[in-house]
Amino acid sequence: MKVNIKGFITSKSAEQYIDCADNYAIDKSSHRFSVSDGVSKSFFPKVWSEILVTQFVERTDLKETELIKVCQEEWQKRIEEIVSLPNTKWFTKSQYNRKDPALATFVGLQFFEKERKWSASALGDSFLFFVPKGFKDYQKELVKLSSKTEPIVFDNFPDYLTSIGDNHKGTLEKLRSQKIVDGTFYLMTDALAEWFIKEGVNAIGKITVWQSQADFERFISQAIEENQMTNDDCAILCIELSEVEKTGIDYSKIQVTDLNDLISDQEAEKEKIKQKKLEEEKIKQENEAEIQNSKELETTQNELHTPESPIKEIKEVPPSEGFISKGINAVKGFLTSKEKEGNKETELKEEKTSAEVEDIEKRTLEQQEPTTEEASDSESTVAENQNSENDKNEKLEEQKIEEEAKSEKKQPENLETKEQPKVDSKAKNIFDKF
Amino acid sequence: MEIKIDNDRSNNSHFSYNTGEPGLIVLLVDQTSSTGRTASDKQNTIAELITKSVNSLIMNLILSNIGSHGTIKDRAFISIIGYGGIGVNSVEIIHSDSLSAFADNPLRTEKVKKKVVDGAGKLVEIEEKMAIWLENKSNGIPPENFNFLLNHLNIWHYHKGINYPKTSIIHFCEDEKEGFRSLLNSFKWDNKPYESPTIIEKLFV
Repeated sequence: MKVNIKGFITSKSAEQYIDCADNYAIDKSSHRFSVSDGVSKSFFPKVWSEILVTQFVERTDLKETELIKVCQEEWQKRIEEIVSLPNTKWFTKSQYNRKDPALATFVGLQFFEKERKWSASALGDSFLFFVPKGFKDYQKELVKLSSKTEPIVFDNFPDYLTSIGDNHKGTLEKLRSQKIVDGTFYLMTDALAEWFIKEGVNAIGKITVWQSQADFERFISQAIEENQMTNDDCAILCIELSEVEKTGIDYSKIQVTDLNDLISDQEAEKEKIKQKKLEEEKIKQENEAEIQNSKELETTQNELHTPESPIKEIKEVPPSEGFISKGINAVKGFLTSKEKEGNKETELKEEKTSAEVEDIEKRTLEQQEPTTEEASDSESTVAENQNSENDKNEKLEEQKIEEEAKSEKKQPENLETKEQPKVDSKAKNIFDKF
Repeated sequence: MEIKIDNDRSNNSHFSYNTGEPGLIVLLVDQTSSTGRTASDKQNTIAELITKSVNSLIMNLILSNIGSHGTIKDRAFISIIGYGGIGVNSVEIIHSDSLSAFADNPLRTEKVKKKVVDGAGKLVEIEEKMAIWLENKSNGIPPENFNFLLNHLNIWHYHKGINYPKTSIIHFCEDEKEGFRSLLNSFKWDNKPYESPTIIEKLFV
């Protein structure tokens, strides 16, 4: 028997791969395949769905109840590691103390080589579909497996496996010892399953077109945009069987996207953007400092350089810290000596020059420090804690980077508005931070 | 984050917020003196029930949005707006920030004892940290109108644009306030029709 496998996975539109709570796994030696969708409202569902799919394909030695127990122990161990980290937030610890579980849907498929049979089980709104090759009546011949009963309605309350205790919701639907025939298995999570059912036979052709992760993501983005699909994490395994009469199982073509690869690529991209931003910021600061220095120097020169002015020597003072004060002292010193000579004209110049230098110094200070008005304006925002404000700014910066890193994901477009309503600056600042 | 509520104006009562397109959830809180009366449970005042509901809603939003690294996914911006107090139009933006900022900066935390079911199905008592973002208050009279709320929504759309998911307003009050719904249903942005915010009133009851 020849087996070709395609597997694609992606997160919600505009979210990061790291937040994708869907997972799948395949194992060529055990001939097992699985898909799981972590219920996002539960506690660390991503970890739970990952453990479920991995353990299912690897632990062929365990029966169903034992397998779930092993998975639960593994989840507990992983969560304890996370919760014991020093930077774990209070709310995570709080949820852990409440013994909140992770929840996930599940679909598992296994081939039995000798018997030329397959078995599968499913719980929740993740589905297994089997479409036989050369079908005549699609609806009649389509094999559908899920714990959802007809009429199938997709909602936010699917059946699930829980990571703590035995309070699983629903019971695993099973298909046992089915004869292997040529055709394709599709294992998928809810958003795709909903679309697959709605599309009917057309879905098969559309899936066949996906030749790469990029094709898949492009399709999903467009389907979401056109309201044909719910904006949700998506995972699909397409397992095509052919020449089933031949002995042995030959995995001739496997093209399965590894979620961890997507995550590391995205993290690397984020890091690259972060570095680039830091460099740009550094260059910007250097340029600004340079411009500032030249402006100060130029202003000082313009203000102080007059014919017959005794300030010529001030031009020699390098533009370093406190140079304006040095200039004032030099002027004062020079003019004091002139004053002694009783030169009235010079006295007038002294007054004028001192006033001008003071003005420059004042303006320089103004450029360095925010005005009282600006300070009071920023203080009027809801942020009261300066330290937390800094943290927020860093977080916002990180968020910006994350958004840029996920450039292939669609970003919402802001509508160009002709007339903006009047908003006071205090209220406006509230949303500026977001 | 899925928001699913019945909306008397639209059949489209199911929409989602995500980090790329975060939503605005306004928690409008009645803090007028009438909420100082004892509620039907004879144990709490209405103001106490409202405060508990608001704090517990925020807590649940936070716990439902913990990301893979234990950080909060900013799928919503929360504004707590209280009215009551001294003066006819005494309205206060009590706290307005991203969900993660709410998680990081509660006003204070309280330790409460709670019974939960452990893995073996037994009831065990645990000590839980309960965060407080809104303090109990009942004073003054309602505002003459709710224009301040429109202004708040205007500012949001000024920043985010009309294409952002619609806002949700949860009105924690004793009784529905006259003119509240009609005002919000007439909401327009840039003189264009706009899907009105989803409104839930009397949530705590």
